[in-house]
Amino acid sequence: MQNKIFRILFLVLLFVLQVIISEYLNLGPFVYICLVPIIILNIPLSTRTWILLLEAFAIGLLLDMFSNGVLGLNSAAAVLLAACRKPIYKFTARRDRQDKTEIPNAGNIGANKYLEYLAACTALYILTYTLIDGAGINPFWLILAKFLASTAVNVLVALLINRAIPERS
Amino acid sequence: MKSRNGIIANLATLLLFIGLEVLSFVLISNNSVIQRYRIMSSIRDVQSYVWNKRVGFKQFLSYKTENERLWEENVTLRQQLENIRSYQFQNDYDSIEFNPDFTYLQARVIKSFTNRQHNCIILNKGQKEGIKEGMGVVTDRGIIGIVNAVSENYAQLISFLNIEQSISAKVLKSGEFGPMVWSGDAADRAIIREIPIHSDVAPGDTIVSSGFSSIYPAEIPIGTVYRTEEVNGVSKNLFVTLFENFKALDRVYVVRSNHIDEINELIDGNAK
Repeated sequence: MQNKIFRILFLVLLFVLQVIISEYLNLGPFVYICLVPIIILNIPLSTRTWILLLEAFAIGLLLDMFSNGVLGLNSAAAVLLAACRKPIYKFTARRDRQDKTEIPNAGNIGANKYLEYLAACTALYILTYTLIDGAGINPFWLILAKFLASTAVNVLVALLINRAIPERS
Repeated sequence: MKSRNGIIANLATLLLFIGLEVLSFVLISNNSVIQRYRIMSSIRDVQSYVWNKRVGFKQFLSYKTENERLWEENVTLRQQLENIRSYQFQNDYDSIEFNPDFTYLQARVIKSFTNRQHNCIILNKGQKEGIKEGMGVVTDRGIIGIVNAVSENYAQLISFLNIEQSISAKVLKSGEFGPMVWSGDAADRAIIREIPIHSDVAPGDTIVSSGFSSIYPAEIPIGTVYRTEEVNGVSKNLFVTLFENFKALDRVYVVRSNHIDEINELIDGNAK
């Protein structure tokens, strides 16, 4: 129970952090720090998909509202990630571990597999976000550069944050 | 029952996913001018594609009607062409009287043989429509044959793909002519014999009907030369690829020669 409350508080904290980052941290045109994928990936895998979809939509929408972004931008990317999270996990994790894992991390599915899973999910989110945000306006090279740089930075940030969490189920 | 519930649940989740994505895009569209412009232009692209396909499908459904209409128009145009031809040969321009050499009747092929040496074709029109023995049958891509038997509702043709059938053909470019017969080995091959040795005919030249027979109108495209061959140093044979696909014959024109009796009387020496 305590663990569950801690997890919810941790996700709320991440969300607040994300709002602060979006508002006050500008790392230039190539890097967009985005904690939403970490929040979604930290929701247990046993959560029903429809609940996860609604949660992801709400998280994205709230972020857009609080960070004065284009309303719907983060929610579109978050909903897509929520829908694809399980298939990506099934594709990357070992079959014998799939049913036992609630929240995948390096400890329970292996460091390499977890990195693949995290990178794929983050890349999907960033790709959706950068495409909706910049396709047709920004040149292709800028979108590609933003996608690659943001994915790399966000994967790194996610690894650091996940390392900071003391106990995981 | 369990699997049915599972399918319904999956379907509901899919609908929810689509709904949330659509809602997100609606929000994006309403909150950003640039994104709205891009989303709307993407929607327009999809719309145009769908409209285009729908028009294509409608056209596909109306092909039959359209074909019938074009077919009838073709007959009218052919008739007008014949009228103009007859008009050109009249000296008295003040009292023009249309007296064309040929009139056309539409007919459809209901049976066509191409795998014999003596092939025949059956048409869906007969005596009731005014078809008589000896009439020619053509399409816009070749000479098809000659009517040899007529019942009340049907007509039988001796196909051009008949080793005993011969028509008069000429080279469009130079005007040299000769009898053209079916090669007998392939449905799209024919040979024109007795072309003068000095004639300058080359592969690719177009072959048309000569108009000398009084059964078929002149200058109906028939095919192209693909090879020439000297015969005993005195004449040339032209090997022709036919335009018409006899294996897929459908709509044809039966040609009625309006002056054939007069011509035959002249030939027989019975003219008044």
